Amino acid sequence: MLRKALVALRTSEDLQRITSLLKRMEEHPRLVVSTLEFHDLADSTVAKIENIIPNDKLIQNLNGFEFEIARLDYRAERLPASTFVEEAIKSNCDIIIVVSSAKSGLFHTDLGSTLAGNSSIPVLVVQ
Amino acid sequence: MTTGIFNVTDKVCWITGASSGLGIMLAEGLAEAGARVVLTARRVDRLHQVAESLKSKGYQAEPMKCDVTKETEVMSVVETVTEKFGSLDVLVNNAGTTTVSPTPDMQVSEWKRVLDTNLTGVFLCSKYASRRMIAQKHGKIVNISSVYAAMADISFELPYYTTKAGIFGLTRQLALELAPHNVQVNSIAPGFFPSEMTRSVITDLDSLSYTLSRIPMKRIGTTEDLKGVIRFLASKASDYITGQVITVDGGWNLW
Repeated sequence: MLRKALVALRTSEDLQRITSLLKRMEEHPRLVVSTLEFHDLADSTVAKIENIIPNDKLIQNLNGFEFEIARLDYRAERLPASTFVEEAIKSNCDIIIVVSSAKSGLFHTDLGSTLAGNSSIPVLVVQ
Repeated sequence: MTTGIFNVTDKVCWITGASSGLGIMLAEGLAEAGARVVLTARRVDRLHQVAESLKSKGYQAEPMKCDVTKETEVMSVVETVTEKFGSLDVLVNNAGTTTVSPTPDMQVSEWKRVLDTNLTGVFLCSKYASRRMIAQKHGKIVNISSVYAAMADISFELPYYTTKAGIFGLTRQLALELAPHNVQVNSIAPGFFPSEMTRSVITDLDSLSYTLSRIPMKRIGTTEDLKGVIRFLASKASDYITGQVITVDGGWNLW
């Protein structure tokens, strides 16, 4: 039985897929819904980087789950996977859940596969 | 401000495509070392914003509208710079664009648009700037290519890869022609830096994971990472180097 899971959120659409799967598995862990917040990559005139901001629509998908939102500082100085893994360990999560990109052109180096390759705790990659 | 052989104080440096991305980083790298930067681009509003930002930091910056594909506008910039400052010491051919489409579906007009900016633009700016540089018996031309000049990748940007490889050839041939006139021509091949062009890759965590997986240093370039190399190529420190490419990519091209 899963106690606490970190959700590595790529897009707001991921959340519905993840909660739907967890319900089918009859698992209701506390979810740490995590997004990366880009900091100091560049002046906004160089490149305006927009972050995913958790909103009401996103939170609606969490009905039936205890959850917390974690916005993780990120400066593209390491793999995104490393930041999620670090947070999962810090938050005492027993699993990381992520949705696969399903982009074959990325040669198995999307967020899901880099999480699986770099994490010291179990990773569930939702296809 | 830098002294000695890396000194670029009061050198007149023209940077094309200076309204965004790498153009801003390169302009700032030269301006904060004391150079007088002439910023050109098509988007005048953005250009003025960049110039004002540099001036507010105490740097010397002059914005001028120029579409590098239009010969008359290029000629006009060289004339204006020469009249106003008396010399044109450095040209940074940075203006660039791309188009994304699988090749079987790509429109010829899109292919031509990218070639016009990325190659013909470099030719036109170099043609008129080199006339001035030959007359004054010195000059530096720095062509901004890409790590993609020497490698293929997954995105559907054939004209971009083609033109960036073309810049390597252009740099070598122009370097040979201008060497007797004390004009050095070199190229910088940046890897992955934040810019308008790369914004969609950065915010897509799958694409960013893919990109960072290929960079041995496991980080993207920062605004500081290009400053050293542009000052080197703009200064006396590089006077005996011509026709060369310096790759700034965190080791990406080593695979």
